[in-house]
Amino acid sequence: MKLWWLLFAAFLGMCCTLGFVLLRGEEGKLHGIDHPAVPYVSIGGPAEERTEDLILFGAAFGSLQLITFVTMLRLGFRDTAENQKSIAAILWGGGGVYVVFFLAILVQYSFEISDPDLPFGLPWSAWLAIFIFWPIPFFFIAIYAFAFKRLVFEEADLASES
Amino acid sequence: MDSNFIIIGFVIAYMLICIWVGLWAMRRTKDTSDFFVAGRNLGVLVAGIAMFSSIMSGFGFVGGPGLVFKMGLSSFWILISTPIGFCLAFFLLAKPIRLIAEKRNSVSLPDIVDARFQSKTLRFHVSAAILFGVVAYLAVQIKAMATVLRDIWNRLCESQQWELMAETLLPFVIVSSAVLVFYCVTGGIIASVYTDLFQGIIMVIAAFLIFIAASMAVEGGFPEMARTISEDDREAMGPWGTFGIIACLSWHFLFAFGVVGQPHVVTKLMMTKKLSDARGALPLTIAGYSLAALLWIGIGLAMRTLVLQGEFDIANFESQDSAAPQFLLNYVSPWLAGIVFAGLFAAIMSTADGFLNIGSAAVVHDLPRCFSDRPIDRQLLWARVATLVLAILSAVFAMVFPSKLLGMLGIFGFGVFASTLAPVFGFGLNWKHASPLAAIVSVQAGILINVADLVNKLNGGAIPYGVAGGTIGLLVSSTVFIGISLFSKPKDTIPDDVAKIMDC
Repeated sequence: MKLWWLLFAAFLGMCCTLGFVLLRGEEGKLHGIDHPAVPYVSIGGPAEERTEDLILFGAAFGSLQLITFVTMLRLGFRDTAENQKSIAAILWGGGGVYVVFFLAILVQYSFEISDPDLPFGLPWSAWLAIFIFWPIPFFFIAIYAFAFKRLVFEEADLASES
Repeated sequence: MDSNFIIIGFVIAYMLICIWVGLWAMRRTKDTSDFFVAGRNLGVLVAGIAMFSSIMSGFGFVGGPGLVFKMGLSSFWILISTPIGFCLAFFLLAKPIRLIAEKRNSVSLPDIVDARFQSKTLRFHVSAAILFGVVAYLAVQIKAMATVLRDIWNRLCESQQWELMAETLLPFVIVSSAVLVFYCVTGGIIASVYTDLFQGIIMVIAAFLIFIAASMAVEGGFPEMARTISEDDREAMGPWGTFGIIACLSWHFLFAFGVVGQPHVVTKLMMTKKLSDARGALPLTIAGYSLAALLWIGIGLAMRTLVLQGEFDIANFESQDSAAPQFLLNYVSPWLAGIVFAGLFAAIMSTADGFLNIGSAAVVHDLPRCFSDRPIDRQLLWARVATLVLAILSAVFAMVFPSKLLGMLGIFGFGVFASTLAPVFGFGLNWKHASPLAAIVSVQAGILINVADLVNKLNGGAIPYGVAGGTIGLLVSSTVFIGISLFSKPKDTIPDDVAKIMDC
């Protein structure tokens, strides 16, 4: 039951964060404006003006999402005494890494707002998002594939199949 | 040989293959179980590939590259969210759905919901939500297919100086719908999953080749693309693209948890031969999706760079969605372009077929069951009739509604599925305390918020910061679901066999 209270709190937190941002309103159009020369293409414009005060809200909204997702993954594991330690390690370890790298993208992005370093054309925050944050769920996939018979599935499940 | 003949040759060959698949699948379709859930007989490879390719649809070929072209890296958050989304779908649903389907001989998702919650009212709500989303989605798919077919035909007429250029979409809607109806009515879901398999294999191979072609289209390859785009607008190559933090994170939430509510994806979890097939299907699904994403990324970045460098004249564009077809027609060998166009048709048709199947199940199986415990007679025949009627209805919508409205309907369809079905399946099948009342209110909240968002958009309104209406719907419906369940007394309505499955 504790798990559901945690999920409820996380969902409520996301509703409040997003609700606050939406009620605060948008001054001008901060989610892309038309490119001055090229039709069908949009530009973001100066990062300082459009995102600086949204970073904290983004950090809260994104972190709560990840906490929610990892908590929901917990529901897919078999809840047996011998599995408890492994599950806790997977969730705290995987979930922790997930949130830490998400926050790292935001912290790095906030450093780059005024003067981004562009190794191979991309800012470091984009490198983090594409090459580190994106592959993190592969950890959970590996758990599902390799520890399926211990953590997810038991012989009794098979016995119930015809 | 004229490249247009090669491309149209591939498209015609693909349509003939569809007809053959329909006839082949018809021989394997003996009853409603075969028609709706492929007789629960799919292997790991077919199930895994069918799952990722059914979520890609035409959007992966056309809409995705268009978003990268327009917004830079923003739409990467859709790609980033999908692996965790599939993890959620498998972790939360693979076991209970597969086992309940086996125990109860279920052929549709409302069957599963009814088995768990024992509520006809909820069954009605879920079936109605599915039907709502299906019709919206189907019209978009048929229009997309007809539009691409017309563009290819007109290009051929232009190159051959034939005076047969088509202004109207009608003949192409008729041809597309006729092929779709034929193979869907005859082959049911078996035809759909094998087209998904074909599409998935084509997508992975084509995406890899297209990615190479995209890197060669711009001198200096991807580093040069990133530099050109960054110099024009630094935000475009930043982690949030031009769409910004809040919009990207709203997509991240919707396209991750939203996967749990997509019926054309989740239904496939009922179709595997064995429960343990899920073990191999998850990595296969995500590997396939990630590889196919190369097409999305490669074309979008290359076209934005070529246009910014002045190497490509944008005069032929009708919208950002022209980026992918124009790249294929101008920068790729006609043989590869032909394969990708065939893959595009496969993507649209298999998704449309999946929706037709789910929609016909809602009409002939689920809605009647809300009012009577007795199934209707000759269900397989009526399922085929319902498929035909739904296809005609969607084709009429495709002809009558303007493209912009149809685009909105497509987004509406995804949002409705996500916000109405994800909490009911994801939470309901994993929590004995979840109440039918919570599920009903959650479905109603999801539909209401998505309808309000659609009406707001039709009146020219927009949600601040580009937040997707579906995200708000999903957040509210999930919170309402958990909240009502937590604060209400549980009723002991779960049948023993289902309770046992939920315990294991």
